[in-house]
Amino acid sequence: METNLDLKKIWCKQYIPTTDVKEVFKKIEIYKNSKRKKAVMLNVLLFFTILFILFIWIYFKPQFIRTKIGIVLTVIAMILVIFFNSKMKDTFSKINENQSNFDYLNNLKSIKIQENYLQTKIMSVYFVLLSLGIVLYIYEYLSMMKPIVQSVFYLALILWIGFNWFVLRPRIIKKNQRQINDLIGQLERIENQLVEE
Amino acid sequence: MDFDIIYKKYWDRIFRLCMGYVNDYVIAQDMAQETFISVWHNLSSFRQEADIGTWIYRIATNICLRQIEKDKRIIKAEFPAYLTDEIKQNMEPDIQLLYKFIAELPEIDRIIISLELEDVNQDQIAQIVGLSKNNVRVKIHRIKIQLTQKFKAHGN
Repeated sequence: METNLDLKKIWCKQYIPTTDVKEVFKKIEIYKNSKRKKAVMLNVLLFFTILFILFIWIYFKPQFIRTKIGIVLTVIAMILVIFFNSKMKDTFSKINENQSNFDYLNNLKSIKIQENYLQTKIMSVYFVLLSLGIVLYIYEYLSMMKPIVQSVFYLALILWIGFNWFVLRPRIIKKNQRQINDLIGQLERIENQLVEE
Repeated sequence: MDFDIIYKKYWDRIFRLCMGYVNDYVIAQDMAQETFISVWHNLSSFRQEADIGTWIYRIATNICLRQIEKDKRIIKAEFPAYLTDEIKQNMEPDIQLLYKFIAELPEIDRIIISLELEDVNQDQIAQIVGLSKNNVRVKIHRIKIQLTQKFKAHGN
């Protein structure tokens, strides 16, 4: 196998950048810090969201229970999306790398399919909660206004919810699905290379 | 096993493996480092009865495969031009060609031939990739013919 020997000889002559083990440890530290930062950021965000709810509660003094429910629903919708996004980013990096390429690709694919499904559901739940929350919240303040003003506001609200549900939501879902389907397609293409000959 | 020892023993091999996969110094270096970060994280869970080489190569090849997810997100880091030129000038054309030809192969073929050229035995390659030993043997034979033909077509 002369070709074999030649290829191995050429292969081993590759230039290897000398990297100190310290550089790897530096990267490990950066990785740890970024994880810590992410966790802190999420907590800070949650903290300010709660402050914001308290502010509305205290400053605007809603009288109706439905107004309060509206505020809570809106906030839950936002928190849901933040949590889902950060969780999904983590899942991808948590896949066990100590498995055969075949199993690894399979796992990646099933995670991506699951992500695709969840993302679609979460986006729909987000828009339902947000719309419902805003309707409940705004009711109390609108009921104090003149009927004509109320009608204009309700019309604007219906248009806004309709735009969210029929235009924005499908657009976001479609964009996310395109990205994930692209990746699933790539994974399947590689998986096909692992079909026994 | 001590991380420093593993690093010294496997750094060159893992770098070459990644280089065969992407044929890009910066990305290959990043991928090799990522492999060792994963090794460092998981070393405590490594079972001594398994072969450490197979274990590390599995991690490295899976990190290579994950590159498809990153390709779209990461804009390639700028590599100082003088460094690439310097490396290229000092490097025999055959080396550049071999890595280029390998990087042009389908993903799994790149992994299989890189492991073969690293002298990993076919049993281990089969375990790493998840194919039967017979299939690995057939694939290696076919890839080598392909590479030889590419070299010939290039006038070598």
